[in-house]
Amino acid sequence: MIKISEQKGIVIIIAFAVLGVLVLLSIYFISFAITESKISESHKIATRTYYLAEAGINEAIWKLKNDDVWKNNFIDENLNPDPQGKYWSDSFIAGSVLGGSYTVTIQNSACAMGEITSTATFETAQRVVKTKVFKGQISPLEDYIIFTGGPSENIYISSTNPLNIHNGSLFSNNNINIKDLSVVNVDNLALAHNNINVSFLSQLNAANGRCAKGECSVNCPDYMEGCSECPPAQKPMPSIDFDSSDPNSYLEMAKNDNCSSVRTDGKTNCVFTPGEFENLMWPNPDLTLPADTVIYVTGDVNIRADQILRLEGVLVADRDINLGKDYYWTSKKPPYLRLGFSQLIIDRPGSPEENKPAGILTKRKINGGGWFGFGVESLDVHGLVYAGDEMSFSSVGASMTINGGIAVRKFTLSSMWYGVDIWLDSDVIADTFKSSAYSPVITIDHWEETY
Amino acid sequence: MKFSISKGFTLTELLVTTIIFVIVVGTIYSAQVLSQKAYRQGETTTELAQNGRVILERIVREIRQANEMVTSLPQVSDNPDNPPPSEIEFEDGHTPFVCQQLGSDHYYIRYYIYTPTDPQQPKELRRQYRVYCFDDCGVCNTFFRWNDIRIVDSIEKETHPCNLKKDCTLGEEEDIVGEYLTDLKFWGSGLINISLTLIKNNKQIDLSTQVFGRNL
Repeated sequence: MIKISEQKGIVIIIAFAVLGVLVLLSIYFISFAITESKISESHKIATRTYYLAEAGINEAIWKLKNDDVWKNNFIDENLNPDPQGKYWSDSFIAGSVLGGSYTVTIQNSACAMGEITSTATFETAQRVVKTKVFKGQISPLEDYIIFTGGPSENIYISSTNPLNIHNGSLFSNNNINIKDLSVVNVDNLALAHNNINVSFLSQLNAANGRCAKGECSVNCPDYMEGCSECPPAQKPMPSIDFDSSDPNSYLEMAKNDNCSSVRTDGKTNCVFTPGEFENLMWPNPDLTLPADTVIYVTGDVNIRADQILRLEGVLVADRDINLGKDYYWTSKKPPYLRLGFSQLIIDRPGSPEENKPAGILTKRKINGGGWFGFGVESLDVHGLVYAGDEMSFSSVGASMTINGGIAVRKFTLSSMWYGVDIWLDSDVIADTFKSSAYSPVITIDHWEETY
Repeated sequence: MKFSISKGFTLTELLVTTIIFVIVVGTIYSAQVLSQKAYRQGETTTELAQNGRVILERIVREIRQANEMVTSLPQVSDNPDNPPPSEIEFEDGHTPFVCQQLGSDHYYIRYYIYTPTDPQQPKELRRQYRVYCFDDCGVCNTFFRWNDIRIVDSIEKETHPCNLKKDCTLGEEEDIVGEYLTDLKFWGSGLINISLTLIKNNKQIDLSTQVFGRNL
């Protein structure tokens, strides 16, 4: 047997094998160098292109603030949507001065809400940056959580501990009176056109100060250096369209809403006479009204005697809304007699982006009596509480939570020992007032880079 | 007498083999050197891009919220009579201020290119955080706006900047934001254009963007 090493020609085979390995190695090195060079160049132009795309987004935001066409069309209710149902959009090309170019497009999806897309190209690279922008509606109440618009009426707090005003201010066109061991905590300012009177053993803790006759803090809107007082000017009570023929009035909305699921009188809309509304509540002590509706009662609303009323939407009354004034209620219909405490729970339908109104609105008074809940959140409202006249609550056992705001001519709170918490929600206030004014501030809601 | 069969190589064989070996090894070595060079260049580009990104992000973030521009900027970049400056100063708009305890109502930020005395060292982008005083910086404890004027003996006196250290005491201590910056330009009002060039080992990156100063 002949050994392999003794075979003739083996050297050339080994030599070619080694040569092949070396050639492969050199191909690998060259390919590595080419790839690395490509990555490096790609990284360089990608970074540059990305910043061009960002420049496009910034230019679009600048145009929304400064370009009259963009600024007006973005919030024009006649263009968003237009008669054909389309929303406003526009685009421009720019960027040559920065080396490369970008195309920016804005497409509204609602009034004062849109998406900006900036597509930048430089050499072989392309980058797309998208951002969503919107302008919030301005609340006619600014940041006032309790606003009393009566020119000679007061915010009157007595025997209430605590009343917590979260993230906002108190405003009275006349006086703020705090008496009888009351404790009022305000996250921002307490403002009164005339005086703020806090009696002995009562407290008003306004984190950013008081603005009234004889009082001033640096945070007051009318603060001037050296001033010892800076009362705010009186402000008009914002109005609500209860019952005009406009399709956006609450009466017209209620006419178009569907309450057939709870009505037994053959009608389908959500406009009730006081008698019809009582007939609805009488056999239903725990009544949930149809969601996302405006319930319009053409007179008084009395929520009493073991009644729990739940609604996602707006409860509107042409006259007064009385809560827990009566412990008992009798009728000739079964069950003939009802006894107990009452509760009103109002929630906001949909998401905040849907801009749906919520709250309780009355042309006259909102009265809360002694039989309104006990040890529970008897009034729990996510929305606006609006009364053309007075809002007056006096209930030893009830507590109250409002997430929104209160706009009334006169505000009286007494004997609320279970506490009252009110959080500011300017969005729901603006939507319920149906404010058409938009904030100058552009909010950037979302940012993304796509490829 | 019989000679044994020679099992060695001829000189020609050895020479040819050596030449082939040298060519092959040389080629591989060149390829390897090339790939090393490409790798280093990639590394340099990444480093430059990273520096550029940090510089732009930092400047953009602070200009976006600046209260007032101190540096006068031209509207366009190509007017030879009014060329764009390579440094920028503006009033800090982020609150609470990082040096709130100092008691000033106005703090200023300046970005500029620092050229080291040693030419081997790369240029740097530096950031100064400062206040403005009428008094000497060593004794200053009352602070003013950058353009306040005081009249002393009928002579107008202007404020001057005093830099702050990281611990918010007055003194020279500058923040190095990025390296390899060889050119920096600012122009525009409201919508501020920023253009910068970074160079290292003959590799160059140019970056440009715009930022909308929301409070300007």
